[in-house]
This record gives sequence, C-alpha cells and structure tokens, in this order.
Amino acid sequence: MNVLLAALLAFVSAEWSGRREMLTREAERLQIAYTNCAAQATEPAEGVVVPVEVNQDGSVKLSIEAKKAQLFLDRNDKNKNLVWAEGVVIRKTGPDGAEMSRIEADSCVFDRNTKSGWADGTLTMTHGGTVFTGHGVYFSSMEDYVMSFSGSSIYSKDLKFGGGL
Amino acid sequence: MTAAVVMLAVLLLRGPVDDAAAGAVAVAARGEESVGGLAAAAAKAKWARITSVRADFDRNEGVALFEGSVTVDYGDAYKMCADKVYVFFKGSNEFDRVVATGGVAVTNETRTGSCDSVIFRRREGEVEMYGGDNGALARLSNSETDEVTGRRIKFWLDAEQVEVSGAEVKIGREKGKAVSL
Repeated sequence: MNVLLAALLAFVSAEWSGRREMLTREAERLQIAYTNCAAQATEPAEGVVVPVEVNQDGSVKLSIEAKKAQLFLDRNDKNKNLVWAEGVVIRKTGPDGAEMSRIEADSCVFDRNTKSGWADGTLTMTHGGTVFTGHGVYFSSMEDYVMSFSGSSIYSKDLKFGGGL
Repeated sequence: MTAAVVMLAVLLLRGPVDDAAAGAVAVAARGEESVGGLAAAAAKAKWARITSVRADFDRNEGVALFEGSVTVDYGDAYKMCADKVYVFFKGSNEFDRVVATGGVAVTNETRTGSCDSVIFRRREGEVEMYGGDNGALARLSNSETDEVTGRRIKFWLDAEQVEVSGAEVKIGREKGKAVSL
C-alpha cells in the first residue's frame, strides 16, 4: 500500500480500531444478554413505552416502544437494567420534538444503563437521508455507534457531485 | 471513479426524518416488502446503495467502515466494488475523505477503472488511485480504445489534468498502439 495511504489509515489502525474492538466486545455482551433474556421472557407486557433519556426540559429524548416487552432488573446487580422487546421502535428526538433518528427491529435487548442494545434479527435505522439495515446489529445511543455483522445495506439520498468517473 | 467514490459521502447527511423517500425505503427495509422491493424503492427514490458483510458507523469519531464484499451501486450511473471502504467525517458530519482498499473496481456507462486502493479528498476535489504492492498497476480507461495505467493515477474533479506515475498510456488499443512514459 502506498506510504501516504498507509499513513492516512494509521489513525484507523492505531486508535479507532481499538475503540471498534472494545465496542465489538460490548456487542458480544449484549448478544449473550439477548439470548438469556429471550429465554426468560415468559411474561412480557404488551404495548409498552419505556422512556430511556430525557432532555433538560423534561421532554423525552430517547424512548422504546414495543408490542411486547419485559424488564430484567436485579437488586443485587446495578448493572443489570435490561429491556427485552419484540416489535420495537426506538426514537430519538431533539429538544424541539422533531424525530432525529428511528430504529425498528424485530426483537432486541436494550441496556438502559449504557443506552445500547443488540438486535438479533433485522434492524432498520433511519437517520436523515440514510436508511441502514442489517442482521445482528449492535447500536449505542451514548457512543453514537451502529455495527452490523451480516447483510449490511445502506441506502442514501441521491447527490449530484458531477465530475464523471 | 470520482463520482463513485464521492457518492459514499451521502452517508454523512443528517437531519430530521421528514423525507418521504426515506419512509418508502425504510418500509421496504423493514421487510414489509421483499429484498427486490427494497432495491426498487431505493432505485425509485434514486438513492445510492452500499452493501457489505459488516458495517460500522461511528458518528462520534467520524468514521464509517464497510468490510467484506463491499459494493456501491448507483443504478446505471456507476458501480464500485472493494474489500473495504472507509468514510471519514469532520465537523457536523461533513465528509472529509473516502478510502477504498482491496480489489477496487469501478464502472459506469462509459468508463472503467481498477486499482488496489483509492482515496478521494473532498475539499481538494482530488482522487488518487494506487496500484498494489504486488506490482499491479492502477488502470483508468475512458473508452474502448483509450487507457492509462500507472502506479499512481491522480486527477481532479474540476479539471482535465491527470497525473500518472509509472505510466503506460494506450491510445487506440485495437490498433495495438501503446506509449510507455
């Protein structure tokens, strides 16, 4: 590889790859949590709305809506604050109430402490002019990160840049 | 090549979800329509499509990485394939540069190109194609008869100028003419 190009990608290798690896481990943790929760979700509630984060004015910033959902809490483990859900819509709204992004998933587990989750099946995220879909997807509101492990597709708006090939 | 690489920048767009096309594509993406329907919805909306095995979007750090059989499809306008594609952002999601590596191939209605890696710098409006460490050269052809190859091919969006290092230019290939520089 060209020296300049290698130098350019050094950032990715040296710093960003470490972050990516760390979040990959987090994705694996949530994938396991999903499997455990799905096996234990014997009494899900229906038509659930769970606020996760609020704006300074008290309006909901991040919320989970689900056709079915069950909370998994542990008094002895503060780190366990999970929501398992089916038919999921996760909305992120701005201070003005406008929807900034939307995630839809067949089923997922969401960690309310880390504001991140794992969708085991198909997930679709709409954010502005971009629609992302994948199978087996980690997503984090706190880290502003999404990673898909298979069948990743991104559709983006048409932009005319010109210049030809 | 340029248009293909530049189109990756569409990932940077941000804003409220108020676009009817976004809704149509999202509906298809949710599986309420077939995969073919998804492609059709995107095509109808004239959106670029990027597919890969794994994809990472890191808005916090301003990096997106597509890995494993990456394809960029913009209908008949162009198609690009590569092993990896990086998109780097800066500021409020304004894309800065795009890098594709590994078996890069691009085609559109009139031109084709191939190289080991390519970088597009948006602000400078320049594209650099590189050959591989194994000696394979970057190649750019703008017709059935004209082709330029080299270890490095650099050109700009807003100019006709092309810089080639370690070049071989073929004009009228059907006549067997070739000029090495």
